[in-house]
Amino acid sequence: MAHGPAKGISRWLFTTNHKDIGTMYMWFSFAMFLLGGAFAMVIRAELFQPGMQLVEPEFFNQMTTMHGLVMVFGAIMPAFVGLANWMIPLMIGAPDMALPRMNNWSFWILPFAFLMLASTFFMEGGAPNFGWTFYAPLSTTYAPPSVTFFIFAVHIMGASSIMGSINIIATVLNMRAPGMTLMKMPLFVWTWLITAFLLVAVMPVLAGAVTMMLMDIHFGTSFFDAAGGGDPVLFQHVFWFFGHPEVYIIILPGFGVVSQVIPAFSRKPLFGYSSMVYATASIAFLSFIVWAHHMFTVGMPLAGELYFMYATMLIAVPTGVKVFNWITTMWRGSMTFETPMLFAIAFVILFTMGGFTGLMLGIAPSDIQYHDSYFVVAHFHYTMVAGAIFSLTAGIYYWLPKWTGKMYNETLGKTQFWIAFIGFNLTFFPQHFVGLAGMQRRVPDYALQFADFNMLSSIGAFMFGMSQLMLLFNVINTILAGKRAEKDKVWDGAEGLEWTVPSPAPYHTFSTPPQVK
Amino acid sequence: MKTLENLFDFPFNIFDPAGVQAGWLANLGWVLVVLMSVLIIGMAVLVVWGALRRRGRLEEHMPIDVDGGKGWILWGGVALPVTVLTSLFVVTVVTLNMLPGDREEPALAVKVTAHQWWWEVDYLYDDLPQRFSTANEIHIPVGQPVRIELISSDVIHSFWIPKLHGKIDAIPGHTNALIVEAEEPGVYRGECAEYCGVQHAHMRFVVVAQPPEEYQAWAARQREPAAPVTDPKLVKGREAFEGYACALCHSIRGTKARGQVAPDLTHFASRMTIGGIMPNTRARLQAWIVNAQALKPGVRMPTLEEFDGETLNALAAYLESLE
Repeated sequence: MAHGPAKGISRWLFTTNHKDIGTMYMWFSFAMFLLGGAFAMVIRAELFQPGMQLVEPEFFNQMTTMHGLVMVFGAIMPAFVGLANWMIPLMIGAPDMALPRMNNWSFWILPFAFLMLASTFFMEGGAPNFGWTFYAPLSTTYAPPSVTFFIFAVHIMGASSIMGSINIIATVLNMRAPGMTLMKMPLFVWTWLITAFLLVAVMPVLAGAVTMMLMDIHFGTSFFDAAGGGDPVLFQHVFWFFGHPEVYIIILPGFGVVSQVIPAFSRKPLFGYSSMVYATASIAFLSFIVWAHHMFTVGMPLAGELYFMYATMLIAVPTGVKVFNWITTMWRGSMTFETPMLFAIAFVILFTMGGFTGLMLGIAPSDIQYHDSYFVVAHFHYTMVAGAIFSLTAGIYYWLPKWTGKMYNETLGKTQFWIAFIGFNLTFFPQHFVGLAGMQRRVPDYALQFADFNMLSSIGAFMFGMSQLMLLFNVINTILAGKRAEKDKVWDGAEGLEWTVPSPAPYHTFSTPPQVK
Repeated sequence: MKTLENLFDFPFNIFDPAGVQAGWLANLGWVLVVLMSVLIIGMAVLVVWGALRRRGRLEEHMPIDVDGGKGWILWGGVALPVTVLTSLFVVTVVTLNMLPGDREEPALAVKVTAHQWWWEVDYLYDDLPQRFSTANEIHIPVGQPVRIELISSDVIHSFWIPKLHGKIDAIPGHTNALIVEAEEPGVYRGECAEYCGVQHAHMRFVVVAQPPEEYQAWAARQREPAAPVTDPKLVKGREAFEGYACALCHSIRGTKARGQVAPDLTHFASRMTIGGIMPNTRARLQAWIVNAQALKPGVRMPTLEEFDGETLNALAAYLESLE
């Protein structure tokens, strides 16, 4: 019958076990999170004061570029894939993922992609320095030679993501326990199913964009070269056709985590379950038809501006439904505020804020003033950090007892929450003001009048960075020295199949499918 | 002469507009900032209030209200967004409609070519002899609409004068246009607003909005070729300019210098800045000539160490005579 894991390193190299692979995804993404975070610390240290102090502008630009790439593709996306690997089979009563060997492969190519990307720092001309959005022709004709390695790294990350999402779709559609109909699935599974479809749809578009870059650089084509009859604006259309769904790829699984955590600590079922599913699907659909709101400054016809503006505003409706569903779930519930709940509530507040500033940027005539300013930086960090990172942190604290069979240190968790919450807001809230006043993004130097707010931002960033080390310590401490979790279901309000298996979850679960009523 | 410190102070506050278009954008901006602040605070209060209306503690649960709060969905999830979004759409369409400003044909057209990392400015008068070029400095008459035509010679840049109008990109292969109309005379900061490489942060320019007669006087002076020089020191300077690398890239109308890839220096001394980033002073000029790379790393201007002190002095003196 069930056998345990293989011995030594081969357990990790050759594993097809969804829990092992999930664990590897989580540790890998945390390593990338620390790397991307270190880049962010360099950026904030340079911006601590106006003028050029610590690094050359060339290196600064490499930092901003690599920070974005590593955080998006190396930290947030693999972390959610790790959560999916761990939790989806447990939540739908499946013994493993549908395609376990591909699962192994999709993980193991990732470290090579990022090794290749990081190796560009040691190449002549340095690492990619053209911004994480890599607009052509800055990223083609004017790019450092390492751009080719960047392109291959993106290809590999894309292949990994596509395989990961095919696996998730196949698992969710085929491996559900008897009685687990689609509309009974936990919301985390639903949001991941929709996210996986988004990934399968848009990662090839990104691959196409970088392939066209590769052709332009090495094979004499002119997709994005105006001198040869191409068009740099084409790049932006292709990139944002990937890029806008990408932001929902990053946030939708976060919505899923929060939709598990809030009902558990409110001790109430999730309010408006089916409307949550439809709202998620609507957001995913809308994400395909709004891409050019990132491009209001390229000189678009009025009809285009009006269309993309209104389509963008429409996203506020399903998002509003979700936020009010979370509030209503909490409404007169029997609530307690453990660390996962604190992160989930902070998520709802701060993500809503990021949504409203996004609305301001979605309005064409106001965007032309705020476009590419620090206001944009503030906006997307409210959605990426307070959205994705906070929901991930909530998920880690929420499921850690299930993974390890041990309780994390609640006091340390709450302390981390408050330091992260205050540090985050100290970093990014002032950036709204400097952005509205005209400070641009991607600059190593800025006008004197922004000095005070930037200093606050830097102090907040160092605080936020420290709070992440506390998370790391708390997790390691739980694994090594945590107190044994007393019950299999550590949260008395939690629902779902994952709480019916022992803690720590055994190596093989649901070898016999459970019956879902 | 402007010092480095107050060069940084050329105003660029979006919410203190100096032009017709920026005025409309600032009004829209205030509406948005106030509305969004109210909504954000409202939502945050609602979430915290919702969280605090808890019943009992972990040990002793009181009956929970599973169906409570349905009204919130109807009001907050549907009615509120629809009302807010519709009114926002109306405000926006009104702004978009007003944005071009004066419908009359702009009296003046200026072609701006964005380069890594400077701005070439060509005044497009219909009468060819009336045309002239300058760099990193745009003068416009107050109270008259001016049409800016934008192209780029290398990567994507974005042309932005925060106090006059929003951004518009300069894209290779495209011509974009923008109409600005300054309402108050003044000197405003302009910037590149699309990340364009290593010196993106220092790709700045200056906009001088002047009363029409002052503008005409300035334009008349700019049209003239450089005045011939007779002073032996200035002649030595001119010959150095023509004889060394300078003339390969720069041009000075009225001399042998005809380079086309770097700023036209015919009236260099009338400009406020060197390289868009530093006040135009003798000391900085000499430093720039010898070692521009130290002042704006990555700039296309090479380091020129071949001058002896005397030649450098003459060269700087000559450039300073180009009023």
